[in-house]
Amino acid sequence: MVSCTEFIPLYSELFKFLDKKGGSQEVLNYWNFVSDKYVEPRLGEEVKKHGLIGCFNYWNKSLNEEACDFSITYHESEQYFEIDMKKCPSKSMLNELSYTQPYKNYCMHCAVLYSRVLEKYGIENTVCDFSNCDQATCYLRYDALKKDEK
Amino acid sequence: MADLHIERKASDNKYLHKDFHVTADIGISYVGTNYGDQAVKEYLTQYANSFYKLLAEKVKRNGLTELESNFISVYKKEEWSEFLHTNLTENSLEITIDKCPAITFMKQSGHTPSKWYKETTYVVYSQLAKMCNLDFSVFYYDENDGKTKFVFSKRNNE
Repeated sequence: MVSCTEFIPLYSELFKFLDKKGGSQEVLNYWNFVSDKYVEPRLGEEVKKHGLIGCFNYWNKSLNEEACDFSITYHESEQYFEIDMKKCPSKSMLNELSYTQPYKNYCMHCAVLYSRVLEKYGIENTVCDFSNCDQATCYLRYDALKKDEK
Repeated sequence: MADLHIERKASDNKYLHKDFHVTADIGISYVGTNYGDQAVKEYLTQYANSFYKLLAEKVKRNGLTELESNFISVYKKEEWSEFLHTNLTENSLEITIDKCPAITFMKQSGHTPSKWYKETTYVVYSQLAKMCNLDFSVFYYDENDGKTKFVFSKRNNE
């Protein structure tokens, strides 16, 4: 067994393995695959049932279970949801494993996995700031499109 | 409904996201489906080589007790200590697991583990043993629930 507490290095090595097999396009293919197979039945179902608040419900569960240092906010009147990741435990773990090199674009999987699902429900990733992801911080904002923008 | 806001520190929660068991199996299954059995072995060997580097150095330096401590620690974090049994002797470390926390969780959450999931025991621990200059053998492994017994042992010439 690979413990769920040791999954992140397994994930990073998967991206490296797939990159060797088929380059960054194959990694992207995998992210799309896992988005459809894993994220859609979870985040997608929440959003289908509850709209933008579904984002709040989904990340409230996962970010707490992942013991992140974070804040998430659902803005009712402006209809957007934001994640302010102050310390991502996944990226932190990879940074701490100084004897191994993480996948070069590790953090990008977050941008791909969730946007692909949310776009189907009229929610757009409008801000994706990974400029400090080396320090395990990032900021993501998702806006519900108005009906005429969908 | 008003705005909703939550702020948490890492220290507010325990790091235990069991859904990662499902995501791990999805990745292994993707490799197996698209690249075959041998590729699964290559992938998991690559993982072991990368992740267990430090542990292997400790085991080589301090002996099998380091390996036992690692298993105890991992199963404690998984909140699964009661299902793990270790038997450490001068020359071997025998591990018995009554049922696997990953397979149990996957099945509870409606995910059927792939036919390659067992390789996280066979390949990963076999490679870990190799890195530690140890022999490794599996007595049994039940794919239904991950019940297993395996042993790491010192090589005859060590």
